[in-house]
Amino acid sequence: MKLSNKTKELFERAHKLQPDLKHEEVVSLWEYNLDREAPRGLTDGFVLITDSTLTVYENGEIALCEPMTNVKEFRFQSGVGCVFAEYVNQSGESFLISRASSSHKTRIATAIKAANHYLLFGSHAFEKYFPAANVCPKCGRAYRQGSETCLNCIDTKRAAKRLWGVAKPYKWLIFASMALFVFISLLGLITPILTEHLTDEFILSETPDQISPLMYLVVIGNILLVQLASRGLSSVRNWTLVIAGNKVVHRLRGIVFDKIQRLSIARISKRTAGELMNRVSQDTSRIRMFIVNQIPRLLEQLLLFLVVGIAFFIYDWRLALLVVLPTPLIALAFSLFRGIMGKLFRRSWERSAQSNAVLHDIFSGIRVVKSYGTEKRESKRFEDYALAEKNTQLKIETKWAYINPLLQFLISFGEFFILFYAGNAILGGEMTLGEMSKFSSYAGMLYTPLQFLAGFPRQLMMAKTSITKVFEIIDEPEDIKDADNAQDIQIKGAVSLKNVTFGYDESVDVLRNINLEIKPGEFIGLVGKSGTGKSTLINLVMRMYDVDEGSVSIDGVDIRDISQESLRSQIGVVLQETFLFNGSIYQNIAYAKKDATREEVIAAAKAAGAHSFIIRLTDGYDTWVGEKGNNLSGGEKQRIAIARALLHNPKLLILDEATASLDTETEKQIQESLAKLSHERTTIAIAHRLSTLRNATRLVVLDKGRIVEIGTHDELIEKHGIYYNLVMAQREMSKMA
Amino acid sequence: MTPMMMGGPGGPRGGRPGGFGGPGGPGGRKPVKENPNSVQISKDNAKFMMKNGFLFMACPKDAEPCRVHLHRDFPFDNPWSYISVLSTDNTELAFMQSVDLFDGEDKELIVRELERKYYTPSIKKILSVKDRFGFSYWDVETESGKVTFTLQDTFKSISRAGDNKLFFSDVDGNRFVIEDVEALDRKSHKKIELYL
Repeated sequence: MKLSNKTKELFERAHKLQPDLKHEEVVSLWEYNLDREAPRGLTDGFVLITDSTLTVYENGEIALCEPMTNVKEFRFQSGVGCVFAEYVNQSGESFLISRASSSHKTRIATAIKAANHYLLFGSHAFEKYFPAANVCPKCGRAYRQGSETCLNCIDTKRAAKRLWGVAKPYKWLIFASMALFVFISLLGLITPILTEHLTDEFILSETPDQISPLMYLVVIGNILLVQLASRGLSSVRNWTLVIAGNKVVHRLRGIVFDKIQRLSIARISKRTAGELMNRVSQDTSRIRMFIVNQIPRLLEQLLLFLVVGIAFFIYDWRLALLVVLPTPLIALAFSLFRGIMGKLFRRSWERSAQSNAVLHDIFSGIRVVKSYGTEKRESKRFEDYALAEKNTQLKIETKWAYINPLLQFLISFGEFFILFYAGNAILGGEMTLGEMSKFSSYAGMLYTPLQFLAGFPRQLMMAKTSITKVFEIIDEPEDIKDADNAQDIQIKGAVSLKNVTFGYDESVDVLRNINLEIKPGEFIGLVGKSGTGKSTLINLVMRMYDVDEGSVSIDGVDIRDISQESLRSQIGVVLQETFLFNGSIYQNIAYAKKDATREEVIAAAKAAGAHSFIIRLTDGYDTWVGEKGNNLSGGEKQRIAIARALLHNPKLLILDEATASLDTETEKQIQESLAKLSHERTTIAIAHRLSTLRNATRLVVLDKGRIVEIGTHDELIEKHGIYYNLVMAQREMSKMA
Repeated sequence: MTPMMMGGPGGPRGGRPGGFGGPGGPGGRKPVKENPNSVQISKDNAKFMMKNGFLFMACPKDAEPCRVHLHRDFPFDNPWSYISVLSTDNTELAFMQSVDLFDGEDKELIVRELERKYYTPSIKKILSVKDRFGFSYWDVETESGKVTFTLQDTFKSISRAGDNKLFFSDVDGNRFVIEDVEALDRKSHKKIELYL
């Protein structure tokens, strides 16, 4: 048996507690850390379940011992911040087994599943529930189901390395810009030499009559040439920078956008649209600035500092010392302020994200705001956030305003020394005026890098915040991936669910042991009270989530082995809430099939009962529908969505309360047109209005996550079960109306 | 079964379940059934007791006791008022305006049960906070010793209740609380300042 280290550890503990324990007798085992009674008490607890007994040890003593023949079921329960385990005996009475902090949640939930598996099937399923790979090798914690990343030990690779990965395809462009940066600064070194020459040999010449005008022109011309070359090369450098920058940001945006698209619904819905937009547009731009502007400049400036510094030392080491004297002080100041500024920038980012999110929230809900007349309150809410953002920004700017002049002063402090030293040297005749002008130019060059470095922490922090945000998205694990050998299949429409168990959270099963065989062409109606798992079942068939246990297959192929693109392109979905993209009605219907002809679109619209109202619109199919299709009624939008779903003639059609917002007359129309087509396709429909499902070949009634009744309308009415009650309740309602 | 923990980022699937199902999507939250017969309880008409490690309620007092779960309706703002008493299948059996409507052993049991279900160690000192790539790693001292925990999306994992009370929900679903952030020592306060 291949076990994780943590599980091996548990076994060792079990052996210590029960020396004669045999490995194969163990059904399940777990540790727990909270006292069962005292709310805040800690304990060292251990639960061991074998073929024969359930034993609970607390601080080394046996706290509970129960023969397995008395146990009917183990149960897991979430508290808040803690989890409970209990067992039910043969007479249905429950007993508390353990209480543990939520860190133990996954492990205990799994252990209980293993124990129940044994009670249900009489066979051990240790490997299934305690697989070696299910635990983080670093910290020994169990992974969350469907995830292979340990959130506690997530690999946070160095930012630089990650960024390089993004910039790598354009490395030659970036190298070229860097080389140009360096070359241009080296050119800058020549000018002071020429100026020195000009000053000492020509301007301050002691024998002015001997100066050859030609030589003078040559020197002047050289200065001009250097300037020209430097400006020209700068243009080229700017050009390479723009190209490299845009390519980097384009690629980065592509990566982030693709990643967001690949994430599962569960993960995407954790973030607001505004937040995601921020990351795709703003943060990537900042990263571009950093990669193509800041980094090459940093290298350039460092190099310049080095070269000028060395030159300085060769010319006059005492002078050089004077110039570099303030540097340690500056370095100290940098490291001090970096921390402060970093925190402030991080907070500023959060604040601006918050106020953007509020803005987005208010505008999306503008109808509600208007209808409740709460404009003033919302203005206030936004103002508060804007104020918080302003205050943080102000804090940054004022801090910067204090810090920056101080740093600048420190940096240029050395220039006073030069003036003093050089002045003395000239008066003493040891230095010429030309030399002094050269030195002070060089000193300026030495200080430019330092000044740049003073501003660099700010850039670095801004970039780092953005990098963090972007990589947070990029690093988000994908829960639903295509298998390596995922195949494209032509769906015929047979859907089969075998022993399907699923929960959005590992501790609560929303669907339990679902078995359902749907034949091609069947119309299945899913019925049940809200919260019984109908939508969840549909989500599983579309593979929005992966099942925890059992399998969903289409035409006999497990959907985890079908490529997601192939699967979803052959499923038509209409949800209760529709979304119309910015575009014409035609574009919205044709969304489902890129190469649809006008005839096909019209046919689909007719089948969906949308054609008649579309042709009454002035612009017909070219009518522009806004972001939410605000100029259409709910029913009209719904019919467009149905047309969209019908357009690519899916072999599997899923209707989740699709016709709920339509009046019964229109619904009937659509039902009929759907019925005409339905022999060619499998339909799974959820509806609370049971009349919607009158054409269903079979009705599946769900209750508390289990299938409780299956049959035709007549069969189920005869049965006088849950369906019968639902029908009767609705009849009562319609009588009242 | 108790309703799921409220909100909080939780694990990959935690946080906001339901997703695709639109407003009808129930997600991982088990619906609490509306019960028109839910009664207001106080020491006059209800009695609590422990059995097999669970809380039982008799209401009216001479009725057969049944196992119940206590659920805070406003866990952040009003932890000791507005308590729903749920049956094991999540129907609200009774409603407790405040734990103060009970006294003696009953009140003791209720308070203990709430504290037992809402396990929220109180943070006394923040030793270190490391922020890396959207995750933050916290080293803290709670009333029951040193604890390390991880927050994903730090700002969203810290909820504010009132002016100075902070609730933390870590990646595993553990809860922590800082009762009064202003009462923290200066060093600790400096470490959390950024997230306020």
